[in-house]
Amino acid sequence: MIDRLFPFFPDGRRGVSIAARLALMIVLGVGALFSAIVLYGYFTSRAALEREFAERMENLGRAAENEFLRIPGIAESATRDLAEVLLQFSPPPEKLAETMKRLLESHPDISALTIGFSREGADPRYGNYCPDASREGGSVRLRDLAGEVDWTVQEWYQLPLQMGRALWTEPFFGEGGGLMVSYAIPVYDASWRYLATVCASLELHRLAGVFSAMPIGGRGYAFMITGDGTFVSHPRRELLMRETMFSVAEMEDRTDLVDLGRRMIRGETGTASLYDPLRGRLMVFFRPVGAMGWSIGILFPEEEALADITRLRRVQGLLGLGGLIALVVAGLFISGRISGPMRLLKDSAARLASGPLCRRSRPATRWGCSPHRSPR
Amino acid sequence: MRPRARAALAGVLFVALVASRAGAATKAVLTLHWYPQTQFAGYYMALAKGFYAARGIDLEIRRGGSDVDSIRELREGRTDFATLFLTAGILYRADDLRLVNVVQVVNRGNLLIVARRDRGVSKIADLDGRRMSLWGDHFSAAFKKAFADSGIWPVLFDQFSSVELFLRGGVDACCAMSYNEYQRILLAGRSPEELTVISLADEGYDIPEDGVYCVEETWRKDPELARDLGEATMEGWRYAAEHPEEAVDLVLAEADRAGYTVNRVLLRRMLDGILPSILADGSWRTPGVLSREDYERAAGLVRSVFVEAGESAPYEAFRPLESGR
Repeated sequence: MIDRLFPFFPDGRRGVSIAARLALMIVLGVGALFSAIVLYGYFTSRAALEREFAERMENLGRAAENEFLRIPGIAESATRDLAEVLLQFSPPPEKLAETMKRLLESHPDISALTIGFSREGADPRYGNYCPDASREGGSVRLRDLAGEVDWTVQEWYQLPLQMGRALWTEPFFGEGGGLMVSYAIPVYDASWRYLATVCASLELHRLAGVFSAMPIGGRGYAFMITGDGTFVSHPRRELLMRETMFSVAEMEDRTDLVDLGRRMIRGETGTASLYDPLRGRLMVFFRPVGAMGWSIGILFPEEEALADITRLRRVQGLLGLGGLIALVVAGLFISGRISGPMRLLKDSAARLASGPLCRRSRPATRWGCSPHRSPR
Repeated sequence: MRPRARAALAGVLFVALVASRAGAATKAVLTLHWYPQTQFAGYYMALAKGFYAARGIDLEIRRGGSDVDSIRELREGRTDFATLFLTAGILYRADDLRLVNVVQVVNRGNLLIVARRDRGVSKIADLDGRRMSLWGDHFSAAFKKAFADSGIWPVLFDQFSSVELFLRGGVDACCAMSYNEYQRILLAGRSPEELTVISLADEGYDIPEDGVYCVEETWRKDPELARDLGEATMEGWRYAAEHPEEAVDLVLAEADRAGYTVNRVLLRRMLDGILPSILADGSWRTPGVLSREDYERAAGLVRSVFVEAGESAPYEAFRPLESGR
């Protein structure tokens, strides 16, 4: 067979027979066409599945965000209410503290309410005053932080003052050692002098707990980072509050995490592909969390996210391989049939050319030609 | 005597020697001016490796932080030694607090102005009228001098223990240490290409920073103690430079004990960043030594910036080790 497909030339070199050339051309031509169709099908299916994944993740992300933002929403409205009380009624310090206590009692999700008054404020009653209502055991404890800490150098007081708007702080360790996060709003008096920062604090584990308890499905998981890229929710607990996306990227030498982290802290929404040396290729969907400046990521192993396309690729691959083998066999058979007479003619011509002419030539009846007797 | 018996006797003698040294060791307290981080790796390493104990010092290292005022600790006698910025040592040396420089650990300036390039800041003059956050007190001395010399005045905001205001875009620029806040900015996802980084040392304000201080009375009472503390500290820094991973592990454990959350990457970057300004290579300033030139330049800067700063002490009084007093 090999000798027929790749015969020896008279000078001893091995050539390529017409049958082999024909078969090769058929296989290449049809194979290229076949591959193009398969690839087109694969990429369009993959794009469709990716779109579907993004939509599924978008819905999941929105659900996670809504669930997550429920508690911060309560903190925001309680803080605004307290600021409104302060502005509208300017209650005396003891009345104000009592209001804070009642407000905290009626909002079990909030851990503490604090008002840090400006030391340069116009109202002398609030000159050096920082009332704080916080939970202690099952009750609410009222105290004035003025004798304990300098609240004016703390981030929850300074940032709203310096930025001139309400904001969520970066998480911080509270007095009990637990992680807290605060919503703080700047309050100005009627003459636009800085009056106070009003702030509500939440325990981060309550927030992150809501988020991490969400069913993601399969081997997927969700994580959350702050505006500085710090992990506040992640199945790897050792990352929480200690690592940022960027420190992990450096530790694990993964530049793709840097690109993803930058997109997330910019507040973008989208999907990305990551390569994790331990888990293989991953697909991640990300979106910002309300106006907190934080971002969530929902992550799935790519083989799971694109399981259908993987199956399709496997089936198409097997079909393609089988088709190619069949094509080669068919091509060889057809081209062998086509090139058979020519090969016989070539062999006869070679024998004739090598003389003596008295030899009998083999009849070509096999190919349907008329029998021919050679001269004796 | 058999080899085993000889070894056992040697062991007993060693333990006895160590015990006798420990018994005679001088107790001392060193208060650092911030939370455990590799900015202080040399001190922690010297303690862990027994470099202080080997010199007869039974040292207790206390962490600093936003809740600790090192100057007050020294003034009220709650600590024997404290780490301070050189500008603090000069500014706060007064009649009732005669501060003495024991060892000048960070012998080169690491102060930076970090600005957002997209706000049009590419050089120090561009900061005129721009919003910038700045540390208060003695930390601001070199910055204010640089602004005054350049004839500019940014709109200043207080900067406390974080660069959050800068990260949130509340200011166009902030002050930073090259080994600390700048690294934190990068680890919060900002790329060097987005930032303009101006080194005050390159601008001509190269002022030494962290040093160990005590009050004159402590020095007079036991100059050997202060001298040995300085030597052991520098030995700790040399060890940390040779064993950076061990130093990072140690400081990370200290930070965890103190409830201060910091990550390994930052600690390693911080250590790599600060070491060149501590350990000299060749013709540079002598490690651990505050030179007369540096002191007088820093004192001049403090006097020019802070109106409340009085006449500076003579170099010999501020740094008695060099003058043999």
